[in-house]
Amino acid sequence: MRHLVFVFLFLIFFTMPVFALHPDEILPDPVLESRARDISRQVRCLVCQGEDIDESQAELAGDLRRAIRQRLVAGDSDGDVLKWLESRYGQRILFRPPVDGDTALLWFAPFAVIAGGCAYVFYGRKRKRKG
Amino acid sequence: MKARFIPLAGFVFFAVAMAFLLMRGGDFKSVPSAVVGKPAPTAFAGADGKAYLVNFFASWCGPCAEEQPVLLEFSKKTGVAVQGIRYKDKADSARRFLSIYGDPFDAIVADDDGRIAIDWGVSGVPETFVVSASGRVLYHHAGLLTAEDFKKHVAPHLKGSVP
Repeated sequence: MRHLVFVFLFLIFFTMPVFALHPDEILPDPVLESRARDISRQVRCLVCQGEDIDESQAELAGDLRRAIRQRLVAGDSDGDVLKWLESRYGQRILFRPPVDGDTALLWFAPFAVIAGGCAYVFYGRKRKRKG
Repeated sequence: MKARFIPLAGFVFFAVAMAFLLMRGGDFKSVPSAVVGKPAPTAFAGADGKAYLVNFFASWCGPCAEEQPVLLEFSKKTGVAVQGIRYKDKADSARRFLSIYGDPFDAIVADDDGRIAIDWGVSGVPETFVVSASGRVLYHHAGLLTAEDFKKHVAPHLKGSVP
């Protein structure tokens, strides 16, 4: 049993994501750096499979991380940075696309499907009881 | 229709709709780009009142080698100016590359850190843009630009001077 616990801990430790951040990317201001990390986790690496740019080792991810830090140092807000990225690459670069006319279906379809399913089950039960 | 078939019908409808949308696919290289319609992020002089091309390339990029002859041939045919952006590449490597495969460029700008690429919404090489005479991006082509692509997507923007 103790062996199993050890094996699990071992596996968890060695399968943790390796952060791709290079030491010389890190900003001297910890507040800005923390904002940069937070923003990076919301940005899709476009040349990778589903990774965000904070964890991706791709060159483009590194370039984007650096560009984000440059803009934060220049005084942009988090929202400004995300909007700027969207203005260059489109909504696909954000993991959380904004909720607007185009994406409303994307956001609400799952809830609509669940609601529909529940309604179906509920009315199905009701009809059975009537019979 | 019996009520118990509704979920199945719903699923089938959904599956068919998704399949249809996937099959329709389309030309993935000319996906609607966020930069189209916006001012060109890099200003180039000498547009001469005509639309021009901007091409991101590198000597280490295989498809770029295929593309240079196409750009050279069509730029000669149509008389369109082509501005090159050398992406993360050494000047002499690029010069050698262009002397082998063809040099369609009126001018070349260096993008050593990839920042210009980000400003243009570029995620790799090659990528090609059509910019209007007034400096507005008209078209964004991600990936290899073939002769077919040029005729189908680029040439229409070059007729006359689109302001």
